[in-house]
Amino acid sequence: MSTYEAVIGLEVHVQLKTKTKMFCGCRNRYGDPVNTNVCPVCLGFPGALPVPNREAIVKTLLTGHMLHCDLTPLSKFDRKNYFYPDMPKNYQISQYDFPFCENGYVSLGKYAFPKEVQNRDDLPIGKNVRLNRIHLEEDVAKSTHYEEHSQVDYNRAGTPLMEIVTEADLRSADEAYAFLKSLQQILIYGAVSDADMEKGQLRCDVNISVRKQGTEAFGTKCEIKNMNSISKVRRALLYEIERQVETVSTGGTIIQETRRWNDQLEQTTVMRTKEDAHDYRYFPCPDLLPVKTDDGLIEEAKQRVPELPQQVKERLEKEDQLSEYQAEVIASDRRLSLYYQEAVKGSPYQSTVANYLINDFLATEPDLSQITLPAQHFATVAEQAESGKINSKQAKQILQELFSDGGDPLKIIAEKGLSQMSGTEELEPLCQAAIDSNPKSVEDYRSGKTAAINALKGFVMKQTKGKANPQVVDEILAKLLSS
Amino acid sequence: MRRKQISASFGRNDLKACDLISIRLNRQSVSKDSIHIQEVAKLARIAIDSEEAEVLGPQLEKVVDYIKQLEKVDISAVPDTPIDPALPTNVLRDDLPKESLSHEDAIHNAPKSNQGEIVMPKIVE
Amino acid sequence: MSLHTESITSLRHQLSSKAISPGDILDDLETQTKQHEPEIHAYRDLNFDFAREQVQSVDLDAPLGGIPIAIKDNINVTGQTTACASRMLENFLSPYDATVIKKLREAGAIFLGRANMDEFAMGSSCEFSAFGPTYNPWKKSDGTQLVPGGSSGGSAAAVAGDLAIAALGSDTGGSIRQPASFCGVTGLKPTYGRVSRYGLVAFASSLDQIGPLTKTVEDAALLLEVIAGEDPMENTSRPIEVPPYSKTLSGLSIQDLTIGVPKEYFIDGLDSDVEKSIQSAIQWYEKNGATLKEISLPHTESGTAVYYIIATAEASANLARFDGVRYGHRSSSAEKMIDVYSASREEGFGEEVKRRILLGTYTLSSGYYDAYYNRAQKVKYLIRQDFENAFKTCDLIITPTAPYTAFPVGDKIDDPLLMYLNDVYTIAANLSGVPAISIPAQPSSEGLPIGLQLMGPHFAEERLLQAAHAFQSAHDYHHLKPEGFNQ
Repeated sequence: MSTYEAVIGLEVHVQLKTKTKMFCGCRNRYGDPVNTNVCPVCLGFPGALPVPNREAIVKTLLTGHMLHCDLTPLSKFDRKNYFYPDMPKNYQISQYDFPFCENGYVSLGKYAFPKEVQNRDDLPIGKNVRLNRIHLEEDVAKSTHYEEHSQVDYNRAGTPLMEIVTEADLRSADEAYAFLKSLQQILIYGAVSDADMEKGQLRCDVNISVRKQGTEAFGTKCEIKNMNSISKVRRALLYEIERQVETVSTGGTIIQETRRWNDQLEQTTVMRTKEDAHDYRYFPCPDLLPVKTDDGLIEEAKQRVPELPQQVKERLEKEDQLSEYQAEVIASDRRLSLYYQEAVKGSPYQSTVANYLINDFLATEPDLSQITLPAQHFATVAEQAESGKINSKQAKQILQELFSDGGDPLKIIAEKGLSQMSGTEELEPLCQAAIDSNPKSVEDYRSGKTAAINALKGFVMKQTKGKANPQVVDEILAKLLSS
Repeated sequence: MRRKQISASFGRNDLKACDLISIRLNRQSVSKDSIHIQEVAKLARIAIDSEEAEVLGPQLEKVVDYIKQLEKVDISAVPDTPIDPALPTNVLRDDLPKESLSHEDAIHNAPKSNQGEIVMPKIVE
Repeated sequence: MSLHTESITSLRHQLSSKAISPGDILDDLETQTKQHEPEIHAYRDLNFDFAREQVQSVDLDAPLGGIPIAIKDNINVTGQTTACASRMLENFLSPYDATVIKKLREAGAIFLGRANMDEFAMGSSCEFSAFGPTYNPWKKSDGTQLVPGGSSGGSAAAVAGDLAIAALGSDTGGSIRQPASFCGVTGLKPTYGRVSRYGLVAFASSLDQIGPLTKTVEDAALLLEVIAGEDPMENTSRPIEVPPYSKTLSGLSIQDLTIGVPKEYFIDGLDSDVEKSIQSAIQWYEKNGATLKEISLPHTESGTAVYYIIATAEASANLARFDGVRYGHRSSSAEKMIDVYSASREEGFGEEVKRRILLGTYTLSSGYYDAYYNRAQKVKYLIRQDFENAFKTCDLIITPTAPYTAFPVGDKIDDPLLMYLNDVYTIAANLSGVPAISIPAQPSSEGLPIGLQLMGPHFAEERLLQAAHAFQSAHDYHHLKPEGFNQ
């Protein structure tokens, strides 16, 4: 097994977050009644003509800029000709030889990798996965297949779609996972796309081949199409790499084919082997004028560059004094970092809040979109703990309750009587009672067995059902015993 | 000149049927331009029977022979850029929604529809 | 009354003074069409009820208020079928207006019917309509039926036969000017980008332009000033101010003009009657003070080849949308998806359309792009340069519109290449994007119409119209009527 390596390249389709479609003013909106966001342009009616959406172009350039691409100064749209019922004109307006962005890369950070492998030594942390190009095109319609026929809803037809093509730089399923995670976050940080794979906003085709380690030549590749979650991409690749290595190492040959991931079977299955003769007959779309990106468009894109994960990480380390680990985990997810920043607004307990988020919240619910809790509650709990009103065990208890049932942290503390007894006035009589009722321990203590104080402390704790602040009790007992 | 093929990056088995067709077509073009009319018709999704092919094939060959005269034109003075420098640029649309067609108008012309969607024979992936 | 014979300008005067009503014009047209439409077949669809409905709400103060106009069958009009004279779109009910239609509507025009054409504008004789050919109102002296030219043959024949007051056509390689020439009417192809193509069913997107076919240059000016202008729905329309063409027609003195005569246009194959006619027109301009200058458009000979590569390549993609899925003809025999495509397209398209789609598919296909499409684009660049160079030394270029007069029906239909060579004088204006107008010049010895073509620099329609108007004001060729159409 170990003598083979996988060679993986991805083609990622990203739906851009715009109000309208790529070439017409119909709404770019998911979930509306079928065939209602359509017009002569996006239905490919006779005579209708496209006009490009400026916002989609700026967002593509912004993506290219965030991903370190070369931005093409003079770009154009081309027609890609093929017949398919989900494509109204039977050609797709796409980009052939002058895509908006070329080259570029995505860096793989440690915490973009799946949790279970994050601590492996051989993780290629900091690896740059090179991009070949990013181009802008129009999405196709959505078809539903029935027993005997298919039906098409054209609401999605003509919505702006960005295609990001990587070089064949990825070498494992985990790298593919980390690449997609990182890319997804950058897209979200840049407000380019919501990049929700389940909604089809981020779709991924995978090209995978295996070869003997140390060889240059590529093996026969297979394509796995239309994957709709990052973990499925990983699982599909884990399966497919093993399948290919097994085939090749036992003397078999890989057939070039298109496969799909079957979630139930937990395996990839053949979709089609014989590729149709694709002759896309690309030519410049005569309905569309060229786009000169260095004439204000790139400028506009650059003005929109957000603070990216790396910068957020550095800021949190410096300004909030978070550990590198805390900062990176929080920065690795835009929603988490926004939530964190909301939580620590005006609070001096950044590190405690970060810990709660990472160790308490994320440990139980890795999907932040599930959180409905007001962010400030984290700061409240942190404040209670840091000021000694509750102990850390109680803090965890309160957080768990907040996660499962919601509510107000201070009320929970009050209702459950969780807050610690820290007042000397309250505790001194109890300590005196402990001394009075345990002469043996007092004697031991005074004869030098200082550990005997624990018995006295235990008495107080028992009396207070554990709510007494142990440190305060210690102090009072020491004072009383020494007098 | 086209600058760059799109999929220069993947496992190099991209010599697909399309390339084979074009190689075949090219060979034919070397042997005095007999156009493989059925292949072209398939690409264009127009069914033509052999009778039609017999008429259309030679007609097209005659036209292709005629348009070949361009080989003789000296184009060395033409700037080698696929983007016409004389064209205006950046005629773009702001991202503002416009009214769409009514659902009825959208599907009115469809030969077949069901539940508001356009119906066709099963699309085989 | 014979209102159907009158020009827009004249009818507008009478409508403004309330001497007549729009209904009167329609009545006269209906009488005329009853008599002549069966033999001419200028319309793919003619509907006087539809026209009368529009009259109800028409604004008579608008610039074209109450004027019935024939619309070529490839321009979308809401609520009418836009069939492009094809079985494919026979029942396609348009849910939207082309931009030119919207503008004409606002200007008060009445849409009379759908002018017949070569299917999807592919043809030079109007014989390639799936609904039967249009005949030229002009016949040979021995009674031989002639083609009206194409592809806007229906529009030209309607205007020539007084079956419409004016018409819109589209011109991709001469489709307005050549039929105008064959039928003895005025036809203008504006500069590429002058008139929005939105709603014009595309044939070759980089060459198509909509333009008027009219009885006079003055009417062409009136129509152009209504339909021209930038359109936010059309990427290639240009933001260049539209002059009030109809009001500046007399604002040019011929003495200030330098007129270029391209030597490549007066060669073998040019009919001697046509040559004589154009020479006399050239002499007229000279006599009236214009400076003549022999010029060269060296790449003229390549025009037809360039045109048939670019136009068919673009068409092969433009017509891919006609697949029987969302609209249009779907083969009843199609059981599988692939058959929906190939059978519907086989049944829905006529021969010539198939021929051109196949040619365009072939020249774009893998391995041929550079040899054909790319090379054609480069030669197109040279052709445009020819014109740019020419217009450095002259203001207008004068040529014949077509190398001969209207030819008999059926004459060239079996030889595609011969048919394609028809457009040799008109194609260059589309390839270079310049505006061009065809107006009736001195007829042939047999009395058949001959068109004089004037071409101008980009967006110089005003000068073009002025020069054409000057010629027309001094001659009455545009008043000549075919036999049997005398009133």
